[in-house]
Amino acid sequence: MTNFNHLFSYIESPEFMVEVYSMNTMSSLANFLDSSLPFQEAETLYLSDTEKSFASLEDRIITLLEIPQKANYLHPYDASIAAYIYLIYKAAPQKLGALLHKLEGIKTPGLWWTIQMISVLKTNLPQQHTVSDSITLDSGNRLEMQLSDEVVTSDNSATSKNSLEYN
Amino acid sequence: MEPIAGQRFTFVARNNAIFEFCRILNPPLPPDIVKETNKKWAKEYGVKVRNTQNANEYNCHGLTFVGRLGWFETVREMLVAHKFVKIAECANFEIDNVNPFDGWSIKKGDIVLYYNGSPDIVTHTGVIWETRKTQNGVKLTILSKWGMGCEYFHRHDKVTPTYGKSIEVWTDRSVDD
Repeated sequence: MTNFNHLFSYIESPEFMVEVYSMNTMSSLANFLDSSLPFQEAETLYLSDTEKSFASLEDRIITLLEIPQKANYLHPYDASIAAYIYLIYKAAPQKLGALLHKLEGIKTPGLWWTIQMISVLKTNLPQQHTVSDSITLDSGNRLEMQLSDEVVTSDNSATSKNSLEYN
Repeated sequence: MEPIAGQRFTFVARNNAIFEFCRILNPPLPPDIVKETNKKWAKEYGVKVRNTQNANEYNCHGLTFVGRLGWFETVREMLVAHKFVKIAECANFEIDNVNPFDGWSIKKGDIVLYYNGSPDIVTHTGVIWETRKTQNGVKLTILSKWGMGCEYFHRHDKVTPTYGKSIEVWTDRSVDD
């Protein structure tokens, strides 16, 4: 892969999106993305020209966010946007904080996996790249409650079980 | 209708662990995408649609464990806390049969759990709708919800590959009666 076109056509294909529609949890989505996205190729592209590569992916995300959609329905590229954000997290994590800053305050309705992805990745950012807690993607369907199951054990300590764990 | 966010439910399991989950209305798939997806999955996996309504209110675990009330994720914790018993497992349903452990039989209403590689990442759950004993083990018809998709009846061994080929069968019965 010498450029991102091949990557774009896969991640924005109906076949890819249908697979994401079948996902039931954030962790299984991450599992699927881990096995299906060409991280190594993406990383190679980043290493060859980090700024240009990041700009390509970032532009793609912004372009997709600006695509008009049917009111009150899932954004047609929600799965793709979530995948691109995850790709940046895995291939160029040092760029994720800057991306999330840029997305702050964008009002795009109909997002689901994108919001979940941002919400979880914010807690997994490298230490030196902190992101303000106020960063959210205003989907017009703002989540008032955290999307996670909390299990309160018999000693009343609560743990959230919805975090992605990375080695 | 404005989507409702944040309706919260509390469930107290048999060991008194408390589970909280939310009914969150994620934006639904457009009707034409629902139709195309149903057609695709019917062709590839032989699924039969049970219900296309309210698909944005819950996931598969929400159907299996909490009566379609919301999006639920902590499956392994629930199985332990509510004292479910594992009664069968099959590492690869493409090459192995499903057979219950000694002293158990698989019944309608029992739960099937899928994982892909790591058992820690439960990819899918559903409720057993029918069982059929054959010479080669038990064949199961499952009722399950496929992510943002609809509820489907399907064979236990006909699911999207991302769910994996490993399954476990769990029951809320404490003895096989």
